[in-house]
Amino acid sequence: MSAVVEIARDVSTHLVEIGKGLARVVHEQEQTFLDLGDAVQRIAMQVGGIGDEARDLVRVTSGEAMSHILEALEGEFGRMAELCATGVHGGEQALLARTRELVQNLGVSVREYARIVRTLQMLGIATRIESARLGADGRGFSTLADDVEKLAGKIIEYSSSLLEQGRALDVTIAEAEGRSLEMGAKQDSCSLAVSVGLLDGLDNLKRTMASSRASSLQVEGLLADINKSMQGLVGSLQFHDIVRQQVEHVVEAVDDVLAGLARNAAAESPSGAEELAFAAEVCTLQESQTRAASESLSTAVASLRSEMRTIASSVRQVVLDAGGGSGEGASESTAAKVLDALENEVRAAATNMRELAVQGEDMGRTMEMVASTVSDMTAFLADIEDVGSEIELIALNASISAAHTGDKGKALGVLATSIQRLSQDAGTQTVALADLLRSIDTAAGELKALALSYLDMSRVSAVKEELERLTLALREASGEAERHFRGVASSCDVLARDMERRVQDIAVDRLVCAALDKGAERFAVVAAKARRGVPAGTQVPRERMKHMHQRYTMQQERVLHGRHVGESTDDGMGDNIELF
Amino acid sequence: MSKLIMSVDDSASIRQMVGFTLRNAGYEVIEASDGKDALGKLSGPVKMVITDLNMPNMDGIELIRRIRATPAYKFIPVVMLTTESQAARKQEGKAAGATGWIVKPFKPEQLLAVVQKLLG
Repeated sequence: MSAVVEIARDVSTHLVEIGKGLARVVHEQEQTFLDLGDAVQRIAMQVGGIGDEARDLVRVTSGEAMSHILEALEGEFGRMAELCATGVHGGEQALLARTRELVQNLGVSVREYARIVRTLQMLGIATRIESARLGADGRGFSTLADDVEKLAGKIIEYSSSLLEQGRALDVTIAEAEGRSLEMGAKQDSCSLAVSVGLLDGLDNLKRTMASSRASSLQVEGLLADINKSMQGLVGSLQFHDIVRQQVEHVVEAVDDVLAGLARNAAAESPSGAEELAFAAEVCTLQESQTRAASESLSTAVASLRSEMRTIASSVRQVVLDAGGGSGEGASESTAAKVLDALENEVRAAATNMRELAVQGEDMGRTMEMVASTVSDMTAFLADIEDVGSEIELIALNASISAAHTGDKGKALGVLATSIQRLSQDAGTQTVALADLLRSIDTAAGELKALALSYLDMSRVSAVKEELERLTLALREASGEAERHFRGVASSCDVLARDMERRVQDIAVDRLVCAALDKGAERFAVVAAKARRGVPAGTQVPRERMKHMHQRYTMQQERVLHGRHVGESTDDGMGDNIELF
Repeated sequence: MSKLIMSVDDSASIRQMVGFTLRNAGYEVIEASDGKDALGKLSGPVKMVITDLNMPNMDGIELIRRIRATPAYKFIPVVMLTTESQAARKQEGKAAGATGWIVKPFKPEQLLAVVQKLLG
């Protein structure tokens, strides 16, 4: 019996140490769990902040502002294309050619007129000579000769002016034809710059913006997922409390055993051996409970590490995606390159349009000159029509004078008839000339009207200003997006590093589990020691063993207990939530 | 205005995690370390109580009875958050006036689903 007492004392000493040790090790680590919890909360706040920046990023890349700018750009490029088309038309070349033809016909007509006039002059001289020969009888013819000479003089004067102006006009129109061809070529070049260069550039830009939008949505999505994943850490961080309770129950069981051993310490009775047997059973059971607690904690902390590594990895993915969105890794971001290329195309197109406008303005001035020259020429219309009337009068006078001369002036009569005929020819030519001048005037009017539709610098400047405004707005929006991308990438990089470092630093399971495992081993040693001291045939108090079941709150504890005492303890509590 | 929920538990780490979960979802949280502390802080616009069962000074069952005996808080939801999973204890809680029972460890989405269901 004294051996039983001796062993009981030894067992008690060990159990006291085990109990104190277990309680202390779990309690001491509460602050470590609280610190981890604080860290998780800070990380969650950081993720929230980065998520806010990601939402701003999505707003910039997907919002209405960006799509309005792109739509406005497309509209402006359309207007540029329309402006490039304002200028040379196919009809203009034909109109210029027709006008030139009319001018050349005018020259032919004027030269024909001159020929008639020279003949008329000669007839006039002949009439004067014959009139002088007839003396008083030929006085009427002398007046006729005078009229013919005066008229011839006028016609020669008008004809010279018309010829001179006609030649100048022909040169001007020839110049205009050359300019028109140049303008046509410039117009084609301008249209090409707009339709190919600008529209291609805009397509590239739209693709880049779409890619940026996709990246920003991906980043936002990843951050939302990370935010959700943070909540997964909450489960693992509750295990300090759970293991603490498990250890408390172990310590309570140990206290029961110690109380029982103490009660029987002094007396050497059969109950002392039973108490030792009970102690052995309890120690074996508590070995299982302690190992289970150790495993719970180990699993929970391993899960915490794994979840944090997964989250850190997702955060690293955000760094890559956000970095891709900002174009990092290249010397300049993709968006900036595309914008630069587009701005170069815009500048080239604007230069082309300016040149086209200069040509248009020059052409306009040329048309003004044509119109002015034609206007000067048509000023002769009234004079030419007067000539026509005078010619009719001369013809009439010639026929009257011819009738008056009788036989003496037969020669004068012939001259008068010739003068009459020529006058009629001159009259016909005068009408033709007047018609030509009117046609030239009409054509000049049409050319002047066309010139008004040519591109001018004011319209080019307006388009250029608007484009500059839009590309600036686009660059600002793109710059803002890049700043957000970089901001997100940078914040995530810092966060990922922080999380990776914290994961490395987590060691609470190693400390606590080592202590719990050591405690379990000591329970096994103490149980063996106690059993060695129990005489053969000693009964283990089964009812007391079963009664221990009541202190357990957790299903796991009850299951372990049930296995030890050989009873099922499945109470069917599957779900962990119930609303009453 | 955020709804105010009281979290009662003698474990600081559990209070921390409950607070983190609820504040992240936009609730305001007031903490107490046991039933006695909770009664002392129960005032004003507390809309719900989430309490542990086994606590020093005053356990969760007694806390529920005292809450139900207070006119201003007679009908507020009180949910147990405990490691206890025995049917008998659950019945005890129900009889005392508990609105629901959650066994630790809780999942944040489950806790929030319960809170949203009970607070509307």
